[in-house]
Amino acid sequence: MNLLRKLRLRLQRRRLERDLAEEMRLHRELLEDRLRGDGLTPAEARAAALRRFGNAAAALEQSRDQWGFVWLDSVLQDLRYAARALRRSKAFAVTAVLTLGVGLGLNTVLFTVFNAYVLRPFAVRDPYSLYEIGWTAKKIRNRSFSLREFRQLRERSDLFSDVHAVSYTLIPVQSHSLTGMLVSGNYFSMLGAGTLLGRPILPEDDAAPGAGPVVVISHEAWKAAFGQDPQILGRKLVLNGHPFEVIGVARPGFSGLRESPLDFWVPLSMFRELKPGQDLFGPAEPAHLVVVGRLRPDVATEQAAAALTGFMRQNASRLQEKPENLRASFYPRSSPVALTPELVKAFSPVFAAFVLVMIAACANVSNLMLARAAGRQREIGVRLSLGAGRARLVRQLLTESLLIAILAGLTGIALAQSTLELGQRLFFATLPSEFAKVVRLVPLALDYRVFLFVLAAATAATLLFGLVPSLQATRTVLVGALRGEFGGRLRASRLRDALVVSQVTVCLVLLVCAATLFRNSDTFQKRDVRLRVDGVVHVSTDDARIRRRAAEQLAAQPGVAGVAAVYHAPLYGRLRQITVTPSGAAEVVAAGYNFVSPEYFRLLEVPILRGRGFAPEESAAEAPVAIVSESTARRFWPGQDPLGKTIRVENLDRRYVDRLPEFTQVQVIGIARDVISGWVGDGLDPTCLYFPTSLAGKHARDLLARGRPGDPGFALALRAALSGRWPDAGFQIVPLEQPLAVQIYPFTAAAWIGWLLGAVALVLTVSGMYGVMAYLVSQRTKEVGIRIALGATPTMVLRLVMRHSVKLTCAGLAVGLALSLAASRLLIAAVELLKMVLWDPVAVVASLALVAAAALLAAYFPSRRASCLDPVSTLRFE
Amino acid sequence: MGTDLLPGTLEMLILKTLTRGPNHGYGIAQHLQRVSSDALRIGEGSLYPALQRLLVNGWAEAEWGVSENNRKARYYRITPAGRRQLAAELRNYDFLVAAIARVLETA
Repeated sequence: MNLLRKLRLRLQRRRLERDLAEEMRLHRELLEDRLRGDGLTPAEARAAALRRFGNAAAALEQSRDQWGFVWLDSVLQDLRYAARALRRSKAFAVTAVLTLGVGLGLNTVLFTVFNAYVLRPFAVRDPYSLYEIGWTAKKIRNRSFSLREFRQLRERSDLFSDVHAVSYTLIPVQSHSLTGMLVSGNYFSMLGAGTLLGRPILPEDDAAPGAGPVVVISHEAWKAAFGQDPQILGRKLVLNGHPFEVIGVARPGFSGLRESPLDFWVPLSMFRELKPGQDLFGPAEPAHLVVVGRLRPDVATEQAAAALTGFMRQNASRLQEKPENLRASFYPRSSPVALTPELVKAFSPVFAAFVLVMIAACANVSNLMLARAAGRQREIGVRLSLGAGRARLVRQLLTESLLIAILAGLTGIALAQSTLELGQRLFFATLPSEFAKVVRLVPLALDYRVFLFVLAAATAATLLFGLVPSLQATRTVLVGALRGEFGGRLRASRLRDALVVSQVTVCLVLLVCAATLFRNSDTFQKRDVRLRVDGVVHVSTDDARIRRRAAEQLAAQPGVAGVAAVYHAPLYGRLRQITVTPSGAAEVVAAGYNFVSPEYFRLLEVPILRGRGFAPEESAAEAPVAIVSESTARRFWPGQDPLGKTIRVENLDRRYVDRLPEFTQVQVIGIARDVISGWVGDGLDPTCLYFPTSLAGKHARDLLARGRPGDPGFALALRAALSGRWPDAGFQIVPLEQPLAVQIYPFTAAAWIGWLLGAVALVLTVSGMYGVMAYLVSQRTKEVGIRIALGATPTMVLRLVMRHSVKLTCAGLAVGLALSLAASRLLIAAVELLKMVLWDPVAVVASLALVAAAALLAAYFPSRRASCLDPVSTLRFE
Repeated sequence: MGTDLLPGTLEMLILKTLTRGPNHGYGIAQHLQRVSSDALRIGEGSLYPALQRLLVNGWAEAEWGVSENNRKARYYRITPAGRRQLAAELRNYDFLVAAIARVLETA
């Protein structure tokens, strides 16, 4: 309060001074008047008044002191002086601000994303007491529960103050998709998530199956899909063929407890309508619910986990696990992504990359400051000799750094803002279109945490790049400094060398990472999945009742060359696994499997190498026959003829009980060529068993239709035909090229980010190297002049100056190489799943060459200048 | 020149004067001198620094006005914070005076 008032007064300082002087003058005049009234002559009165008043100047001075501006004044003086100094050397100021600004900006982007997903809690009541409940066994972790289990968990009021259950759903609506959540009736009240319009979902809506055909839509969806229609309440929204009444619009800022924001919520009672074929309320008791509890404040997570372990073990029979292996576990649900040690570990390479760029930027600016401080030795010497205290000088130099940091921070924030906007636009533009419809990003806004972060980072950077040069600069011995000779030069040059080496190192590490990522994404892109996906469109609907007629409709469309049915559409992640025993084998093995109709092989051009395909009657009856892939045959029966062999389905894993074949023994009737039908990174499917189904079959879930390749209108035509006939049903219609593109997308995106960081580091390294070499050359001008005068040739001089940069570059490259090697070792464990090649000699050699060339080029030009010096003018100048 | 005052007492006296209504520097000095029957002559060298302290601490506000004999004058007005400060200082003062009195009585 007091400081604020002082600052306000300080701003009116001029007026204050004027007022004070004026009022003192008036005081004197009043005194004079009175004295004249007492009978003195004007001249006598004036003299007496002045005498009475005493020392006016001293009074004025003392009054001024009361304002307490001295400290403030000296800071302002420092700032003014620093601003003047920076204005004088514009090139330095611009370079420093931009360099640091880029570093800060990139880190702000990273922090903003981290903040939005990890740090910023959900806008719900007491988010930190929310935990998702799960169980872990030896190698499995699972977080899904049945309705009965949810009800049992709800009874545990000794552990939770409340428990809700949700089930995620994705509903295709005409040309776009809506993401939503089926929620238990207490969801909104438990989270304290109110509505902007209408009412939230209440327990009555969730009272009995089918009881609540109502929907609450998110504020974002209201804005984006419904044009903020104020009359939205009471309107009907058709989801999956069923009308739902819109009863509310959620409060802005609340969009569920998922990684990506939701569009709508419906009561769990409508499960059957939105997810036909998976009867939550049926006797099979499928585990389709995610359960979130609010832990009581007096219960710790370990305590609750221990208390629930018994509960998990009671349900061990469903889970097909040995009871003693089962544990309950709790996952924080306070923000989209919980801050856990695993998360930090997984993302440490990303953090490291951004921090490295920041370090490179700081090293660069530090070097600039160092060179500048050395150039200002004479000035500093003069100020020291005039009696400036060292602390005062350090403060002055630090103020200069602080000013640069503040300007850089502002630049960084502006840069971050535009990068984020551009990045999001780029993300949605480059993501395959069908997936872009489904993806929702958490709003990436710069909030106060981000500002605090930038402030802290800028301050840290100031200390990092400002303190050392200013301490060194002011350590000068007075007499020497005036003469232009500086102590501590050795120290300064060593520090400078270390900074250059670290820049080369950082640059190399980043470029190696970028190149490795790029090469991997390139490899994946070029990998032949051996499926003819162009022209094939994947059609799926959750409404099982119309699937068969939809298949017929598709087949009747002009331009459709064939329709196939499949259980798990290819390229949508790994095949489902079952446990089987091949005939003759002693052990149970896990194998990938799929149900396909006979047309599948022709449609995707997967040749049957031996044996035969499914006969129509086999597919209609879903008969106990199987076609296996080459690899499967080799693995199950090495060196034997697989045709006619049998496989026993062990059916151990009853978790997907509705999707398993009903037979227990199948006969192999054909061998299909190996393909990649799961994850491109995995390569050819190690095992794949094809079981028969038909377009009308129980296990036919998705449809594939082949049209003319390269016809972008094909998918649209199919959509028009299907929605024309079933306007209320939602269809997902995706060209099969898109899931393939999505698989490669993360690598491409990561590679681009890597390139960006690498390019920034490269520019920083080149400019840093250039700056240092230019400075060193200017310092050695006299020496070089003497050498040339004594007969050194330009080549000799060039070699002399270049030798230093070559040494620094080599040192940097060596350290960088060692670091990349170590990093790849560490990363192999972290990204095992992605099947990446992490030590790629081509990427390493290319990066090495690039960095070496850039660094030497940066050093070459200043050295060239040195070799062309005119010795006479140089020596005369000195 | 005025009599030596205890430190901080001058502010208290000025604030007390200002409770009678806004006044200018000369008026305050006159008032103090008159009321104390010439015992307290406040030198301008201490009056104006004290007034600045009041301004800086937000205990008083200053505003230009016209004095009773039609001269321009800078009027000081006590603020609510100033009244609170005055009350606190008066309490302190009473306490101090009582303590001094006790010392003098027992000695």
